[in-house]
Amino acid sequence: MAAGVAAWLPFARAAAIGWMPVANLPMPIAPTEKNKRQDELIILNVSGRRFQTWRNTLDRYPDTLLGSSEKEFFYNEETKEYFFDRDPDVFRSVLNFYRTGKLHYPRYECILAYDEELAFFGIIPEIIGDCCYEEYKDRKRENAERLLDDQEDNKDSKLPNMTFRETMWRAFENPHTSTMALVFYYVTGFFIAISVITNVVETVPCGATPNQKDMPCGERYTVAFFCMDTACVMIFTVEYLMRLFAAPSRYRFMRSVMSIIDVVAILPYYIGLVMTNNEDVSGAFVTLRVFRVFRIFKFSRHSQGLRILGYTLKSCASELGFLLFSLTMAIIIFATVMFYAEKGSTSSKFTSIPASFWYTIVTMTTLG
Amino acid sequence: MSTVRHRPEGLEQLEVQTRFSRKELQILYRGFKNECPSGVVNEDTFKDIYSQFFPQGDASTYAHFLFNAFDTDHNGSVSFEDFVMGLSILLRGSVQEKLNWAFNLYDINKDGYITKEEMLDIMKAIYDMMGKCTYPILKDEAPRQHVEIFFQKMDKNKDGVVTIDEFIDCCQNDENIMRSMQLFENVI
Repeated sequence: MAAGVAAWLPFARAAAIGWMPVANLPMPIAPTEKNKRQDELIILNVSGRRFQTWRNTLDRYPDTLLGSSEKEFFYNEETKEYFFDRDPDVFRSVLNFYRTGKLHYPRYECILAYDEELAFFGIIPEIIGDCCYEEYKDRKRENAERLLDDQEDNKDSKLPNMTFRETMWRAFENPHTSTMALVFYYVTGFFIAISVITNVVETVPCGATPNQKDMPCGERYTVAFFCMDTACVMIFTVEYLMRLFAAPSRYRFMRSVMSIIDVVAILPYYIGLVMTNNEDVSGAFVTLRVFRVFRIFKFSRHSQGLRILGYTLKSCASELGFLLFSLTMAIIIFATVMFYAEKGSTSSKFTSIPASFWYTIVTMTTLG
Repeated sequence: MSTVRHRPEGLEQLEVQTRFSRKELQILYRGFKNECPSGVVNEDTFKDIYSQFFPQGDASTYAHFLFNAFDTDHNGSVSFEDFVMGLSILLRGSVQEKLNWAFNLYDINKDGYITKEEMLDIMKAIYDMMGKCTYPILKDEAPRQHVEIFFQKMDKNKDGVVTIDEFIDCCQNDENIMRSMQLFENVI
C-alpha cells in the first residue's frame, strides 16, 4: 500500500456505512491497533545532521531498519535521538523514500556507496522508481563491467598449474607473458608484413625484358613469388591450427572475427592449389586472390589501436546502419525522380532507375 | 495548466464545525494533503485511493457513488472541508445522522426516494467491489435478489420506493444494523 494511503484508512472504514444497511449479518469489529500512541516526532541524527520525521512515516515500511524495532539498537538515551554513523547525503534519499513512497537514485552518488547505504537500511534497490531506475541499472552494469576488466587484468599475476593448452592460449592472447610468445608474435607480424608487401609488389611493372613488353613482377618472377606466398600461407596455417588447438572453446574461437579473417586470408591459396588450370574457374579464382588483402587485418592482433577502431565501429553499428539506410532511401528517391524527369528526352543516359543510381550517388556525395 | 489550489478554512473553524479534536484534524489534513497536494480530490484520485484498499475487486463504481455523497456542493471535487465534514458525520455523528448519510449515498439522483434501479446500481457496485474472491461464491443474480430482500424489508407502504422516513424507521428497528453502527466509534 502506498505510503500516504495508510492515512486514509479511517475514510475507507467510514465508507463501510454504504453496505451496512444492506448486510444480512452484523459487521465484524474493526481491528484496533494494540499500542495506539499519539504520533510523535523522532529525531534521526546521521553523522551530525539531524533529520526529523513522524514515527508513523517510518512505520510505513516495517521490514526496513528504520521501520522496525532494529532502530532501537541505535537509540541514544542521553540525547533521546537515533544516531547513525552513515552518510547524511544518501540518507536524504532513504528518508524521502519513507515520506513519498518512491526511492530515487541521485546521479552524483557513487553506485557502490549508494548500494551499501541501501543495504544498511534494509531497502531493496528493486523498488527504485521508474524515473531513476534506468540510470541506476546503467551505472550498475558499467561498474560490473569495470570489475570484470579489472579481474581479467589481475588474473595474469597468479599462475596456478595450467595445462599446456592453457599456457599456449595465454601466450597467444598476451605476448608479453613469455619470451616464446614474444618471438612468435614478432615472427607472425613479420610474415604478415611480408605477405602484404608481396601482394603489392606483385603487381608493379618490373621493367621490360628485351623480348617481352612491360609486365608486372608477379608474372616475371612467378616461382619466387609463389614460394614466398607458400611460405607465408604455411606460417599462417600453422598459426591458425595452433590457435584452434589452444582455444578453450573451439566453437567460439571459430566464430570469432579474427579467426574468420585468418581463414579468409589463407583460403585463396588452397583453392588455387585445388583448382589447377581450369579456364572457366580461374577467372573467379583471380577474384578470390583479392581476399589475400585481408591479411592486413591480421595486424589488428598486433595493434591495440586497430582493435579499438573495430570496437568503435561495432558499438556504433546501429547508428552507421541507420545512416546507410537513410542514404539509400534518399538515393532511391532522387534516382526515381531523375529517371522520370529525363524520361521524355530521347538521348537521356538514365535508361532505368538503377542506371540513375550512379548519378545520384555521385551527386549526393558531392563528387560530381 | 494551472493547478487547482485550495486552502481549507482555519483549524478553529473546522474544530467547531466537525466533531474532531485539533490533533485529529491535524493528522487527517496531513494525510489528505500528502495524497492530494493541490488540496482537492477529484474523482479519479478518489477512485484510485479507494481501489488500493480493495485490490481484489473493482471498487471504482462504489467509489463514484461515495464521491458524489462526499461532494455535497456538487462541484466535481472534494475539498478538505467536504471530506472532514463527511467523516465527522460518519464517525462521530448520531445514529440518525449516519442513517441520513447512508440514505444520501443510496439516493443517486438526490430526489429523496430510493428506487429499485438506484438500489440495484449500488448493490452491483458493492458486489463488484468484493470481487470474485468471496466465500461462498456469489451468483450473478445475487445483487437482484439482495435488492428484493432489502425492499421487502424497507418499503413499508409497498409503493416501489423507499423514502428517508421509511429507511430510518426500518433501520432503527433492526438490531443488526444498530449494532453495526456502533462500530464506527473507534475507527480513528
